[in-house]
Amino acid sequence: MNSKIATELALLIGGFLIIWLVFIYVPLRPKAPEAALSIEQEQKIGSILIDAYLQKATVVTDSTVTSAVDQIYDRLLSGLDTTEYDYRIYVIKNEDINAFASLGGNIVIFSGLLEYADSPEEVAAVLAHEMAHVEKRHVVNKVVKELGISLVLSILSGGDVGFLNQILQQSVSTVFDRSQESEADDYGLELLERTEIHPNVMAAIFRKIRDKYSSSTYESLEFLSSHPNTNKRIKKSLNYKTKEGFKTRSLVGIDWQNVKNAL
Amino acid sequence: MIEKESIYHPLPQPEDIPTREREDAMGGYLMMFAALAAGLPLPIINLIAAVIYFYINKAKSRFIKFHAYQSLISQIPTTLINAGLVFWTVRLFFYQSITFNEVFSVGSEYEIYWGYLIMVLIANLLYMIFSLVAAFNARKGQFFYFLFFGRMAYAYAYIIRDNDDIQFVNKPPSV
Repeated sequence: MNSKIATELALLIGGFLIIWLVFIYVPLRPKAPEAALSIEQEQKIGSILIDAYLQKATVVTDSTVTSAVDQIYDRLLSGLDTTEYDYRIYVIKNEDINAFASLGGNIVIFSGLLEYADSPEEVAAVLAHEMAHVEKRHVVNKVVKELGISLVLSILSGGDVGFLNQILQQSVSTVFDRSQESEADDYGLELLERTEIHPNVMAAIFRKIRDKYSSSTYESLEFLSSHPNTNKRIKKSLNYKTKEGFKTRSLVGIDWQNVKNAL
Repeated sequence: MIEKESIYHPLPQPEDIPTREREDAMGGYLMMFAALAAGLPLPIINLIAAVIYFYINKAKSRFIKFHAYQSLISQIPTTLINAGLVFWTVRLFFYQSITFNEVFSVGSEYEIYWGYLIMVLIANLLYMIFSLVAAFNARKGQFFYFLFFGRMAYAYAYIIRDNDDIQFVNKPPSV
């Protein structure tokens, strides 16, 4: 009798543990928003959006600047084993220290960021972070979630200009979830390491952004936008453990002062 | 060959069990449903109700004792895993202030939570189905053994104890 009780108890506990395990690996939950849009569709929409955005912006075409940015991007790209995205990096004239990723791997860097960065590596850190948002499909996740898939798809069929502006606005001013930001930080740091840029540069540029935007406004804004605490992000970057034998390789051929002067 | 003396009391057959007893035995399962609804936000109320029901009814007959005990002990793990779910959910959404959307995102680290959530739903569903079946069987004067809990309840209610025959004797106040 006792052994039967023990057997049945084991069966019961084991059965439920197996159910739990099975549903960890077969998650029965609503489909993620980004699954609704294929990468091809995203890239098509992305190019329509970025064209519309760039019409209103002043694109920096100076070859000193663009070749420097291209070189930074090429370095980072070498760290991605495979990517389904066809990245486009644009530099636009804007004093803000900012950069954002739009749909379809279109990344816009503000000239203010280049002016404020002390080295091309710092720009690489920001770019790595933005590329992480693209690779992890955070941008499309946010846009689809906020606007709905039908609205987003309506662009492909030459939808309303009003909608276009709305989506444009959405994709430019995307505020990511805290978990998405920290996922992008992690991925960005790894990407930097793989491409032989020291991950600590991420801390340097974060610190600059924090100091530039006075703590009072920045911290309060940050609280609302659910960003991970900047100090935590800086710490994470500084504490990043590089693999043994890690060596940095500088981005030779970029005269950063020249680039800044050209802006 | 002499049959080994059973350490259990003989089981009553349906025709031996009066309607009153059958209904009390059934009540042990059915009252859980009312208490379960009340206990949804705080899954401990139903457990308290089960304990009270058990202590009120266990002395009435072994048949009732068996069913009330089976209902009570099968409720303990159900309540615990439900409490775990409530605790985990509150922790995620309020303490770690995860947004609703984040929990739904693909490749997030919340698969363990989702697995647990579904496991808890299945456990509750099974618990309810089995309780209903047991309640109907009790109404018909029959036994219904849950896995593990059924054996526990049978052993608890029907095992022969030394003090089974000792009757409490009322006495007048001492002079």
